[in-house]
Amino acid sequence: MPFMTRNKATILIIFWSGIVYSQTNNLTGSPYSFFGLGVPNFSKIGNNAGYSGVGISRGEDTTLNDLNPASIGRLNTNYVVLDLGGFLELETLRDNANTENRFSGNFSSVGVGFHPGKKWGASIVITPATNVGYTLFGLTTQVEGSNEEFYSNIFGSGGMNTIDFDIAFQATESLSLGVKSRYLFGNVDETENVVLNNSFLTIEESNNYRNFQFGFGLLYKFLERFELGATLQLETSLDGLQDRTVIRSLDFSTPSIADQDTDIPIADFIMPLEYGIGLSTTITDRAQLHFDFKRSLWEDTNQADGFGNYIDRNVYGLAFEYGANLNQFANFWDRVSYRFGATYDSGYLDILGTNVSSYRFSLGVGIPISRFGSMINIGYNYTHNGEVTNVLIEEQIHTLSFNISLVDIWFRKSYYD
Amino acid sequence: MYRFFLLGFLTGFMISCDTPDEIPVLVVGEDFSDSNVRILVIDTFQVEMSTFRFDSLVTSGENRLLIGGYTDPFLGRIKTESYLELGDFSFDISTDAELDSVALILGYDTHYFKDTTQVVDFSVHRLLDDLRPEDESFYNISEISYSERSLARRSFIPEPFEEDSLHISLPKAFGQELFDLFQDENIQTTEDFLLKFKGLVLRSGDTNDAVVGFRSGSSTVMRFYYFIDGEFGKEEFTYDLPINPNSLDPTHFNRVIQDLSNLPLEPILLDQEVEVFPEDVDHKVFIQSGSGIITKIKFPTIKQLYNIPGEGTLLSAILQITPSAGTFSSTETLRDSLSVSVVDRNNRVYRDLLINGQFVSGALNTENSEFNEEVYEIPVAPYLLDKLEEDFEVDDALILIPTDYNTSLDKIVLDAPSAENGDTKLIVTYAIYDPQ
Repeated sequence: MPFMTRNKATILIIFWSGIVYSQTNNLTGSPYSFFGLGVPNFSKIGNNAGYSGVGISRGEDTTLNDLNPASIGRLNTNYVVLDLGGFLELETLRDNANTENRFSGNFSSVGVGFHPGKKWGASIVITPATNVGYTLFGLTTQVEGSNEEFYSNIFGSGGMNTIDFDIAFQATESLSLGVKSRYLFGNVDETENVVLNNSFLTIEESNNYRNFQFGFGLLYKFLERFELGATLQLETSLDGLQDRTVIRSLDFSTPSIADQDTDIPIADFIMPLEYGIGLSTTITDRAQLHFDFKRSLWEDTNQADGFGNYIDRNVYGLAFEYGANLNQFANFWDRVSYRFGATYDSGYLDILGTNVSSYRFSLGVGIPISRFGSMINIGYNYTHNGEVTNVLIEEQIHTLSFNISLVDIWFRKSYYD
Repeated sequence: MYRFFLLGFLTGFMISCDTPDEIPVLVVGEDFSDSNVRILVIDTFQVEMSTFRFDSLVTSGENRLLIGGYTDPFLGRIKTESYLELGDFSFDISTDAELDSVALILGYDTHYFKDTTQVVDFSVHRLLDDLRPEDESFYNISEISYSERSLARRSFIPEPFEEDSLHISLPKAFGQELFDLFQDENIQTTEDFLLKFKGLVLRSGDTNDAVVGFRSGSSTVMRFYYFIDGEFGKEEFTYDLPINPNSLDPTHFNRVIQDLSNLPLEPILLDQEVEVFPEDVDHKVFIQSGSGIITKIKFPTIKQLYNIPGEGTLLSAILQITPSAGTFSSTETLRDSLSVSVVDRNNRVYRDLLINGQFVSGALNTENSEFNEEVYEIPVAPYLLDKLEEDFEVDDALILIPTDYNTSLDKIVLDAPSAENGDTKLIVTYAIYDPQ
């Protein structure tokens, strides 16, 4: 019983303080985070960072995979996994005239999963799911009843978090069925500052959204070398409540609070129906190939935000793994896993007629640190988002992610006292 | 060993970091969204104006003696009487002194109104009663009886800037009487003096067309010119008797006499609660310092702001008032600023308006004065906010008070909203942040 029991408490304390501290800053500067609930983070739990988020058909036996709830059913019997991860990101934003860089870091997920007995497994994963950080500068609007214009700047911050509770049953040797209960919660804060001659107006809104979302997944092994995966996320409507403070200067006075309201009901945000299908194939003993396709039906939610419309989104992914040599006596470098992934995302935003699409490449390694499969995973991702047009901006994001997946064996019946 | 390395590793990236707060300069604005705010400018709220007159104004305790007066087609004839009490701490005159002459010296304080190239005339009279107020102050309607026969009359062209003072000769016989009393030491204290000489009043004539101000401080004195025979002949000396510095009560004040007979504004003389509305006075309202005539303003329809759908807030409210064309000029200048107070329904002042801890005042905007577009701009948003938030209807109103209201005779004639060539209106800026 190595790490786990002795350091569990210490590690838990560290990551709880990490969660509390880490959500205080803007973790993105992307103006695209203005739309919806912000820019989504891609899954970095377990091995996922190296696969560029491809994982619908990957049942992992020694680690967690939150992309398919059936995956926890494939975890080795009696295994318990604790997974902690973080990342550093360098974002370069470019438009017609300027380039901006932004550097940030955060924890990426924390999860616990286990598979007691043979039949079922369960996991809980907590992740920051989206990030919001934008500045809309220099909006000018006509004052009604006058020739003047007023100026506003809009700032946004915040993000959504998810807690996923996955439970999976091993229905037969080849079929694992999973159910995902997800709780989404978080705040998207927006402040608008208005200036008109000598008058100032500030509207601070904190929008809180939360609700459950349910999903299903299955994994089916066939013909020895193939595994088929399928997922379905049901549409859900996140309840929105707003706290609002309005501050203004009256004639030429110092600003004072004009209005303060809490729990104002606002329009719900609808997370769309999403389905995915994946296929994995074992090429050699150690090499595996994965394909993913996922579609989110945003158009059915009938939503729009500013000048952006939501459109149906398709994501195509391909990943390759060269796994560890499981021989006990293999040398260290032979026991490292190597990963590669590439995805193309057609995007869910249409801004003034232009589609915002993206693509991503990733490379990853998994370094074993115990016999049972504990691993340190390091991944590098390059994401390219949008393009420079009159309206849009282009983003290039380099992400370096680290996570540790600690494995332990519990639930063994002891053979000795 | 392994453990510690791991712990450090984990702690390292548990802490989120970010480049310190900079706003990304990448300007994406109008392409992504419109503002969530609407701002409206509304200038159609009703402004109800009228003119009334304060029953009395305190005119003691200021530092100016006013002489003069003028006639105005609407404000009638106005003139002043300036009452003063003289005195001193000691009255030592050498027994060898011989009186030469006596004069009243009035020090200009550079204040004037109207045409000072015209002659101003006034007369000097001796007071028959003590300068003692009924309460603590004297008012623009206070009177003290004086001798009908004047000690002197003076006509002069005012030189408030070129000259220091005005010199009025007084009869030598009058001066001799007092001089002898000083020499004989029959007058040694202020009380002694006041028994003999209660004070003076300077009465403006009836045909003046200018107003001049004189200081009540040490530059205004009754001066005794005397000489003493010395080794080298007669040496000249002066003895100055100032306005009494040795009293806790007021020692001077200005009385203002106004004649509004047969004019549309006449009713306001009856009582402070009587108002005259602009439609009876050529669509004008009036402010006149010294006489207590003042402009009153109400906004009866401001609560219609609530009819605008959505949640919003008042950003600013400027009462714009144009001074009536032809009522001011380079000699009849307009005041730069007007302070604002609140009166109740009986036209009594009951509170001040404050903004940032300072009194609200409106300023004269002279940016377009070449085009005759001078206008007063008075920020009234704090007052309107109080009105919008009041629990029950309060019948109050605003009044506009120029500086030196108690110590000058200036007039300001303003256009009412109904004036054809005027541009008096309330301009409200309202922001809607939740359009619904």
